[in-house]
Amino acid sequence: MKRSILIYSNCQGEELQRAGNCLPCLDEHVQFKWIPLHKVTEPDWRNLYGPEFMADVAAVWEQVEAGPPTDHRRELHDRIPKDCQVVRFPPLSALCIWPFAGNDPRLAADPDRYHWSDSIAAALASENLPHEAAFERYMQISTERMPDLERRLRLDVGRWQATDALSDFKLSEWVQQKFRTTKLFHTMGHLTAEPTRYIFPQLVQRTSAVAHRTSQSQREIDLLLRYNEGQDHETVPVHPLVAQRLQLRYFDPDARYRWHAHDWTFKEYIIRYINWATYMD
Amino acid sequence: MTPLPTTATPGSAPLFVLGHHAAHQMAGIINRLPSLRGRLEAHFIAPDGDIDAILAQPACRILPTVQLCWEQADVGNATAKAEFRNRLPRHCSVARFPSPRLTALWPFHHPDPSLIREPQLELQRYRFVDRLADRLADGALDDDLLALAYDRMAKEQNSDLGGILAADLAAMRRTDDACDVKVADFIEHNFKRQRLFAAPPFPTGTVARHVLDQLLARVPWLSEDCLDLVRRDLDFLLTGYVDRRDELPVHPIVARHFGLAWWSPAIRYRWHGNRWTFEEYLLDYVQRRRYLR
Repeated sequence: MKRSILIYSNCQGEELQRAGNCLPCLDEHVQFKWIPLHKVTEPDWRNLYGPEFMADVAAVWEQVEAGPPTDHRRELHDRIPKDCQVVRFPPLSALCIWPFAGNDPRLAADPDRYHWSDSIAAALASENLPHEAAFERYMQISTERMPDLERRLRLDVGRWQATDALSDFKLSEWVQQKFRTTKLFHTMGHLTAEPTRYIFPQLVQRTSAVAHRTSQSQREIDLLLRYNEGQDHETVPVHPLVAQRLQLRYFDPDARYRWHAHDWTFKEYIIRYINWATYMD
Repeated sequence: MTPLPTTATPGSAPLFVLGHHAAHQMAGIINRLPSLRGRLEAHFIAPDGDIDAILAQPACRILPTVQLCWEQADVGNATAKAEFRNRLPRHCSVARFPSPRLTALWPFHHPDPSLIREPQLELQRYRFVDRLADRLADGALDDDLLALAYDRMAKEQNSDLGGILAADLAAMRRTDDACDVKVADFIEHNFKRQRLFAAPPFPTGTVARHVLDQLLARVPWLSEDCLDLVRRDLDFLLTGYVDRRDELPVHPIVARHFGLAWWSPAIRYRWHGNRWTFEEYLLDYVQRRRYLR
């Protein structure tokens, strides 16, 4: 019987699952299953993740969280087979790249339209300015209020180190080395393919059931993800001043960012966000 | 995002948009335009199956009140569509719009779906058949040699690209003749300057916009002032609209032959979750490599 590797993680785990299920070298050995830790509900444990679901689990890739374990995490630990190996890995998020994430009252009534909030754009919504004027005003206010991004970065690094400490391998140094030259984040919590390409072999190497496939899976995942866009369903544009202050060398001022069925520039995105404009899916 | 409605909103004139992807897309666009709110409300209907299957769709509950019907030509069950037209109320005005195909940019594409390898996969990895690449599929060539071999075969084909284009345009004109809105001239005049097709059967949003402009101009109760507002809303809504994630790469000799202004040797095509050059797509196609959607 083909066994499973169960990934317990936020949506970053879905990328690991999708990639894992595409690798020929692992195909005969395992399949990958995913429990979304950010969406799982109490009935899900009864209806979806019962003994039958857990029976073939050979290993668990568990994404850690800071703080005490949640009820759901305890539920996971109670349900997985006693002899299965657990490999812990850190989540990734970057708050410093989008420093104006904050309150937008429109999200209460319409939480999905522009899920990644921008408090400055939100404040401009009530001014009903023409598009060009609204964007100019946004640039003016955001420039004036730009926080100390190096400090924000240090806070991110602190969070990365905290979750590294709970994990079986560390990501903080890798992210710090990479994030200025290579785009790693599409949003605060959505990743390009690059982190998946790095994390996946780390997990394989530490998982007894598939460790013998480490080098092969490394080659295959490199091939699979070499031109992959990662979690690009919603990609939030980067403010040019943020790119400058954080020295993001991959930044292109003319870049277009995927937003559902559109490719928008930073300016096009901000104007639409201010206007809470509808878009094509 | 807003799902397409299945019940009528008071005050809005109900519009049926009957067809496949292009019709669904059009209905979605109409319902997102602020200037049409309270004036027009689009309801999508798939013209598949028999007349009973069409009438069983939830949107058909408002059939007696529908005022406009936009029908995509050449898709769905023709008999059932004709029957459906007969069931529309007398006051309902019908306009037909075409489903253009452009094959000239992909002369090595074979339209026969039975040639798709991996028919066992529900979502075929490579749904467009490349008859030249398929000849290389059983060989043991390295990637470099494989790309060279494909290029040599493509040149040896010496395809009459002008002739293929002329045939495409002639087919579009025949469909145009049977439709109320026209696309052939627009495509002929613009396909080198703008990207109008993502793959042979998939016109881009630019073509959709051209069709919509004509359909909206036929709505009798929309004044010229209102249409100006609608056009402004369309400009805003469709900025950067790319729609599909399956862009079939164009071979460089084809792009150069037609002098496509939107093409460059380094162009990357979106293929589901990936961005591939022509050569990268070709190699993965030949090897049947898995990719992430």
